This record gives sequence, structure tokens and C-alpha cells, in this order.
Amino acid sequence: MGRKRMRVRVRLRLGALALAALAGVLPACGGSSDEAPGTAPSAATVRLGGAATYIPSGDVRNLEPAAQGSVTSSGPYMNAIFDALFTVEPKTGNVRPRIATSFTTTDGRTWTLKLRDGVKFSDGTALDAEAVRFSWERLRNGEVQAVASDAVRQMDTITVVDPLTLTVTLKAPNWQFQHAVQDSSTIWIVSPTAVRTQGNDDFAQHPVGAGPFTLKSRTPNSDTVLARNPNYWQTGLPKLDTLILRPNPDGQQALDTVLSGGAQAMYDGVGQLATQGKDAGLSAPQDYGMQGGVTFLFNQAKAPFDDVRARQAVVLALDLDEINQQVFEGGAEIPKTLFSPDSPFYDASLTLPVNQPEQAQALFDELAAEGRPVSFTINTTSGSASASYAKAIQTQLSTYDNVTVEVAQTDVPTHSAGLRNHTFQLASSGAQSVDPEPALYAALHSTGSNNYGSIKDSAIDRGLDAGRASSDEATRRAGYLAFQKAVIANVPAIWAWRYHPVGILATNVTGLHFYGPSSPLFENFGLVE
Amino acid sequence: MSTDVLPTTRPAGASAGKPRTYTLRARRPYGLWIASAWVLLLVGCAVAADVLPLADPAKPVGRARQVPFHSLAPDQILGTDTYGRSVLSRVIFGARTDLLVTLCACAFGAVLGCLLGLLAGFVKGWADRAVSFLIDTLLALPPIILLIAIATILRPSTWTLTFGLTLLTVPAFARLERGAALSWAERPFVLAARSYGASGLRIAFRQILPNSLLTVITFVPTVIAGLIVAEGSLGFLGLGIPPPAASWGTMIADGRASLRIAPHEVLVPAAVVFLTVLALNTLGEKVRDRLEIRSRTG
Amino acid sequence: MAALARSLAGKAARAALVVVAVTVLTQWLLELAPGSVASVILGEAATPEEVARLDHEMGFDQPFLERYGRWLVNLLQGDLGTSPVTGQSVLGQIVDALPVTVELMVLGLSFGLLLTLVTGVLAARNPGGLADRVGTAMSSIALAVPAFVAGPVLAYLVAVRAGWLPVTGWSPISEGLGDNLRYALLPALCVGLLEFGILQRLLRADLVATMNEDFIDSARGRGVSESRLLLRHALRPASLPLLTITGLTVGRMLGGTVVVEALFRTPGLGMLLTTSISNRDLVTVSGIVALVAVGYVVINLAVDVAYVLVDPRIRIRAAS
Repeated sequence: MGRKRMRVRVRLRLGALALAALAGVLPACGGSSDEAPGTAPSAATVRLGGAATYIPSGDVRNLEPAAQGSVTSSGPYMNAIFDALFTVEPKTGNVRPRIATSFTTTDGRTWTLKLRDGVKFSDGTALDAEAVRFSWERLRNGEVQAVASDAVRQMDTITVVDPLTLTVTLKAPNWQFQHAVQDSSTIWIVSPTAVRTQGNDDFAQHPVGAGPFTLKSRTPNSDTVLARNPNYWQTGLPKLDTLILRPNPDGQQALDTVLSGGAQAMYDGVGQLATQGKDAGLSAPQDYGMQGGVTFLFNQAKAPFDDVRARQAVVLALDLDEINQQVFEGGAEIPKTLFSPDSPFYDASLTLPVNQPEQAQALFDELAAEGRPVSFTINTTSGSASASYAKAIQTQLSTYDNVTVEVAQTDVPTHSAGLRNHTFQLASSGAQSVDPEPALYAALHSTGSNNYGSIKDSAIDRGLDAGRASSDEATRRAGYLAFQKAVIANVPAIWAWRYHPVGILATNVTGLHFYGPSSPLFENFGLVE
Repeated sequence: MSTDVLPTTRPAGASAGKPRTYTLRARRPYGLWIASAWVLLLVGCAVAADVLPLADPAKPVGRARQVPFHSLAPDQILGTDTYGRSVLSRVIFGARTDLLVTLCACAFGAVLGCLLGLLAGFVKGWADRAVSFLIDTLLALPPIILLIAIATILRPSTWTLTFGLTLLTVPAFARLERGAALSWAERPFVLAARSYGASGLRIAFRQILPNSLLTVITFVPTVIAGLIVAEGSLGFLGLGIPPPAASWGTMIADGRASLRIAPHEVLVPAAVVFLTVLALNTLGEKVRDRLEIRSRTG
Repeated sequence: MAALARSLAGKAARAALVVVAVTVLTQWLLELAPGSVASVILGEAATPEEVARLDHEMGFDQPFLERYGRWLVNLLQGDLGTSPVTGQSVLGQIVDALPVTVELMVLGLSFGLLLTLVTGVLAARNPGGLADRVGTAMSSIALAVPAFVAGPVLAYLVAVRAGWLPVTGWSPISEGLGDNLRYALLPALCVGLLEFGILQRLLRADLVATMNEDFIDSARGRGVSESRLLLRHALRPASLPLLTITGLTVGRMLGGTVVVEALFRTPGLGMLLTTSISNRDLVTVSGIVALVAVGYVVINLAVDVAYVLVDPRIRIRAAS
């Protein structure tokens, strides 16, 4: 087996690829990545004022944080209006202060959040511990229809200690809870005064937060125009007077728009467009080595993939590097190991299974001889990159005997219903993250909330439990090494391609910072002199 | 949406009947010959696809995105697609899919539509109201709703697609036939037949249907041409033939992603669609000319 | 004229029935599609139990007819409801999206009709001549090149390579007509190309046929010039079918220039419709469908009336 060395920290996130069809309907758990320090240009080169356009990968349903499923598409909107409580440093898992100065625990159960003094919402009211409590409580008390989120499910009690301190206790210990908060709408705090006076419905159209911008006007599926918030807590920021968000799920079209000057920045989750953009003279400076990506998940509760040999046979039959050439012109990264080289949990020897045609054919023949032929349907969303990938899988498997493949392309709700009700056999889903927490846990643990593949593997469970139960890196590493071995043995999925988020910028802008898969922070985004 | 590129329905009273008297320029009908040859070639290939020495359209024959004529081997002469499959083979098997689906949809739609239209235009009264109601309901419903509903409830397949396209053609044919029937029913010879006491059914099927059918038939090639384009739009919306089966629409839709690096993936099927639609429209017109000349001299 | 009024009243009643049938059909069909709006609202991490609970809270587990009845009663009171997905009023969403689609339609149709009239008249002056063949070839091309091929190619050539027009997006008229037209031009061209292909064939055939009618012959005998014959005498009756088709076209285009809007990211009715379908947002979809149905029915009523007024051969009693 040709094993390449690679290190990954992965958090699985189902269905959350920044694809056209998926925009706005996905779960509240995104990955995270470094904020790329040092790319901020010196103040002399960035002009204050002016207007710039950023292209998110999709529009949001409305501007209510509780309604935001996919951080991938909602991050730009929410961060501009609400800012983020904090971001998580990917290597260490440490909290990077923003509105909150710290988020810590001593027992894994009680977490303490400390807020920065003097932060105000754009309506002039204070962003204090009470506001955080209010924002978190409304996500779970039914006052507003909130997207189901793992972070909120784990919370037990929320207590205001003093105006700048809040504690939250969890139902079960979790030493890595900061990741869950960063990756859900709990990271965005709403103005309680505005919610109470406007009501939830109006607030969703006219939100009030503490972000660098405030809403000026909005046309659904088209432009959302944001104006500078003069009371922003970081003095002298934001750089821009006007920020326009013009969503487009079609990456190629988005790139064309940037190239023709119709927008100044966009985001690419695969890396292929960034290469194309650089060739055309754009800059793509922010590549954070974000890990994770898209998987095709086996349903272990249904034939034929209730048999591990069927899962192995399919994985061994596929040449993913060739599919990369076909679907992404070689521009994507095919995961060779579950965790990427810069993850503390990486081990070069724990490689994922790779293409072995003879062995695969032998397994297909063996299963057919037993009367269990490998015949299945791949579920995918129409028009997405995973649909092309599924067709490539189908074409490769057509060269083997005793295996038949159909591809069913549907819209997102149909696809999600198939996942949620476990009626699929092999289905595309998203996988991206920095730490295995919380998304890998949700997707692969037998009790995980997103365990669509009906995985029941005690070795996987033990590894994930060990990783969650500690903040000590060595202990976690031991757990996750065992976990990786268990995943390699279980073959729960085809690890299709790695998530690789890059901001693509026109030459006249700079200062765009990302955290998570595509959550840009706009306060330093500005026009070059 | 472009699934509406459906036949142009000729409404009631549209210039039916009066034979043309001006002289067409005496020209050899090269256009007709070429168009017929192209359609015959396509039909022949589609029928004989299985016995022709072609690669399996679902299986790879070589490296991905090879340009046309890079190799003169029959499998690769038109290049390969994103997944390394033979473009020639997929175009020919695609012809089979497209012709089958559109012919069936057109035939079902024409039979159903003409009967409904005849009923409405000849019987009038309650029948006209009922049929018009049905047609209006189908026409007032955005086709995308109908097609998405069909594609999600029944699973996408050749027959689901045929069913959807049929539904789209029925109103057109019904309107066409209704208009023609209405118009013919007012013509002197029909009125004369009536006054001689010919039965309604006899008039409908012996006088009105054959006469109005000419109008309908001349539109069949145009309808098929429109359906071929509609099939393509459905492929674009992800509602077309499920993979790995080939159809021109899905080939164009799939190739769109590599339009810049391998334009032949789109251009080859697009050219075939273009030529076919052109040929069908030419045929339609020439057939109409012929029929009208015959009705003048005969 | 009393007969005309009665006939119109009958048509209007039938039109109302059509609207009811269309909306019943839509709501019923979309219910059969997998996934519900509750699952979209709660996101992919929601459990089946949570989805079922929200479905219950929003009343989606009540009998279909009961819900439809309530929707219809609200509709008659002018209340199209509020989208459970966006939280906006359906009417407000439609009011935002409709002008965009109407503008594309008007521009596209004007472009198509203009080109049709020019090529049609030129063709009819000398059937079988060069102008005729060029016009027919143009319409064949327009018919044979689907919007989803023409769109990207036009966008690539005109917007990406030449940089003359924006690739995607929209600028409302309120922000200035110039900007608005820059964004509207390419999508409108795509819409119009298709319409031109359809309309050109009709007009040409009818003009040529009309030019052979007796009354033209007699006018020709009176010494009326060919151009005058064509423009004043033949165009009027020959444009009748054009009128009907245009009526149908408008009704159809109201349903959304879905592909074109998706290609150019134009925030019109088609985009709203596809987004709402993929959100299983029945309330919004029903609102749009009702509007499209009403629009279609009204336009066709108008065309019927126009038809009767212009062509006395089709008696009103024949149609009623």
C-alpha cells in the first residue's frame, strides 16, 4: 500500500459541505481552524472606509442565530452582525478571546465564561452575562424555533455569577466543550432588549448584535448590505463602511464574479478554485490547513453493508486519486490518514485502506458466492460535487464483477430524510474539523446524535470517550490512536476528500480572517490604498 | 424554465385550410434530404446500438477527458468524458434514450391530447368546459412543481421522465386539436355534412380529425425537438435520466463542470442536439409544405 | 354584449376553479415528497422525534383538507401566511421577487418579439429567399441551444472575458436604471432567445399563409403596395396566433424563468420557488403557485376576449 504521510485533526460533520444545495439547512456544528495571525496588513496600506463584496457559499434563511444550521454559509452573516464570543486555537484547543476573555473548566462539567468589559450591542445595551444566558436559554426553551444543536443538548444549567461571569454545567463531563460552543449558534449573542421589544419574528429580519456591522438592507437570495457599526467594541474597526454579502453556491460562478470585479472576496472549500484564482492573478493567502472533508457513509444496519467485507471491498476497489483527477482536476486532497499531519493525534502508520483491485474483486466474488452480492444505491444531492464523485465511484465499480451500483440524486430534504431515517445504503455526508470533538463523536459514536450509519463499535466508542473525558493531550492522544485503529478496522465510510478552506481575494482588498470552515471575521477586511 | 420549450401550440383559427397558391422556388430539396439523412442515421444508430462495435457507455475506456481524435480507435474518436467513458458510445446510446423518451412522450401526449381536444372542440358544451379546465390546470401549474414532485415521489427513471414529459405535452396537443377542431367545425363542408344528417361521431372522426390531424402532425417533429431540449433542462436540474445511463441532456449537464478544460464533453452532445433539433424542425416544415401542396393538387 | 358578459362570468368562475385545483394539487404533491419543513428548520442534527414534535406544533399532522381549507379561507381574506422558514410574510417575499421576474419577462419578450417581427416580415416579403432562410436558421439556433448552454457561454464571453456586464447578481431599479439594466441584460437575453425561436416560426408561417388569402389578393388587385399589404393587411390577422402564444408564454414565464434565474443568481420568483421547494416551505410555494395560476388565468381571459374581438369567425357561443 502506498501510504503517504499526512496529519489530520478531523471532526466529522455530516452533510455540511459548502455545496450549493446544502446551504442553510445544515447542522450547527462546523469545524474550526486557525485565524491566520500575521496576515493583517499594516494600517498604512489599508484604507478606512469604502465598500467591498464578499461571496458566501449560500444565503441564510433569515438573520436569527437560532435558525442557523450550517456554519459554512451562515458564518459570514452572523459574524458580521453578532461577532463571535471566542474562537478556538486549533492545535492546542485553547480559547482565543474576542467578546469573551476566557472559557474554562476544572472538572469538565462546570464551565466558566468571562466576558470583556464594556462591549455593547449596536442598540447601546450592554453585552453582559445576562445577555449570554438569555441567548443560550432561548435556544432550548422553545421560545424560538432553534436548529437542533449538540452544544445546547449538552447544557444542563446556566447561571449568571456576576455581570461579566457566567457558568454553565453540563449533563455529562466534556473537557472539550469549547469546540461545541464555537461550532454552533451559541457563539453568537443577541441583544435581549431588542428581542423583547421587537419580538422573535421581527428580530429575525432586523437583528441587533455586537458585531462590526449592522444590517442596512437585505434581498433574500441576493444582496445583504451591511453598514459600519460606529459603536463596535474594537476601536478604529471595522475598516469598511459598507460590506455586501452576495451569496452564490456555484464556486466557479463566484470566482468569475471576483475575476470580473463584481465582488472582492470569496471562499473555497476544496482548494481547486484557489489554484485557478491564483493563476488568474488573485491572492489566496489564507490557507489554514483545515482538515476533514466529505465522506460517503455506509449504513451498517442494512444489507449489503452490514457485512464489513462489503465495506472493505468497496473501499479497496476504489482509486480515489483517480477520482480526484476526474472530479477536481487533481485539486482536492484525498485523506491518507484519518487525522492530518498537524494534528497532535496524528500517527503516520495509521493509514486508511487504499486501492487493491484484486483483493476487492476476491471479496466481491466471495460475497456473491455466499448469496450476498454487493448491490447498492449511492444517495447524493443533485448538482453537488459529491454527485460527481458518486458517478465516478459508480464508473470505477463498473469494471468489477459481482457488484452493481445505482446513483440516486435528490434534493437536500430528501437526502436528509434518508440519513435521519437510516433508509440509505451509501450516502454522501460532510466531514470537517480541527478536533475530533464534537462532530466525530456525534457521527461515529454509537450514542452520537448524528450516527446515521448505525455504527455500533465498542472500540470506536472507547476511543472517542477517552478523548472527550480529558484535557490532557497525552491521554487524549492514546484514546484517539486507538480510535483511529478502530475506524480503520470498521470501515464506516469512504473518506472522499479533505476540506481545505481558502479565502480568495481580489488584489485591492486584504485583511480577511477565517475561523472554522468558512467563518470569516470582517473587522480588518478593507480596501488597499 | 426551459422545460417549457414545448411545442408552440397553434391556436384556433390560425390560417388553417386555405391552400397556398404562390409558387415556391423550384429548388432541389437538399435541406429535406440532409435532414432526413441525419434523422435516419440517428434512428439507425439508436436501434442498432447494441450490435455496433461500441464500448459499454457506462464503463471507462481510457483516461479521463481525452480530446476528440487524439486516438482513432472507434471508442475514443470523439474523446472520453470526465469519467473516462467513450463520448461516441454515450452519444449513440444517448440517442437511443432521447429518441425513445421523446417519441413515447410525444405519442402518448398526441393521442391523449388529440382525443381531449377533439372532444372539447367538437362536442363543446360540458366536454369543452371539462377539457379546458383540465388543460388550464396543467398549464397554470408551474411545470417545475410537477416535475420535481414526480421525480421525488416516483424515483427518477426513463419511465418517470417519459411520464413527466407526456404531462407537459398533453395540454399543448389538446389546445392545438381543440383550436383546429373548432375552426374546422365552422367550415362549410362540415356544416354541409351536418345538414345531410351525418352523425356527430362520423363527422368528428371522418371529417374533422383527419383534416385537423395534418396541423397536428406537422408539429410532431417540432414537439420532439422541444422535448429533446426539455430533457436537457431536466438533466441540468438533476431530474433527468439516472446515471450511468446516457442521454444528451445529462451529458451536457455533467460536462458543464469541465467546460473550460474539456469543452468537447459539452460541445459534442450540444452539437448533436443542435443538429437533431435543426433537422427535426426542417423536416416538420417540409412535411407541412408537402402536405399543403398535396391538399392543393389532390 | 350580454352574452359576452355571461360568457366572461362563466370563464371567471372556471378560472377560480383552476386556481383551487392547482393549489390543491401542489400542496398534495409536495406533501408526498420526503422530508418536511420541520426537518429543514431543525437541521440535520435533529432526531426523528424532535421533527415529529415540531410537525405537530405547526399543525402539519392535521388532515390535509382541513389545512387546505384554512389556507384557502386565509387566502380569500388576502392573507397568504408567513413562511415558517424565513419568518417573512409570503406576500412580502413575492412582492420583492415578482418585479425582478416581470422585468426579465418584459425585456426578454420585447427582445424576442422585436426580433420576431423584423425577421418574420423580412421573411414573408420573399418566402424561401435569403432573409427567410437566415431568419429560420436564427430561430432554429435559438430553439436548438438550451438556456443552460447559452447562459454559461454568454456569461463567459460577455461577462468574464470581455467584462462588459456583471456575471451574476441583481441591482433593483430603485438603485438606478443603468445598473439595473446591466444586471438584467444577459438573463433577459437568454429568456428572449428562446421566445424568439418559438415565435418566429409561428409568425413567419402565418404571414406567408395570410399573404395568400383572398382578401390580400383583392387588395393586391386594388394596387396596394407589397410592403403596405404585408404591414397593414397581413400582419394584423397573422399576429393573432402570436397574441395567443404570447399570452401562453407570459403565463408560463410567470411560473419562473427558473433555469435562467438559477444561472445568473437573479432573485426572482423562480429562485424563490426553487428555494422554497427545497426547503419544503409549503406556505411560500402555495402562495407563488396561487399567484402564477391567477396570473395565467387572467392573462388567458384577456387573450380570449381580445381574440373574440379581433376574429369574428370564432363566435363567442362556440367557446362557451
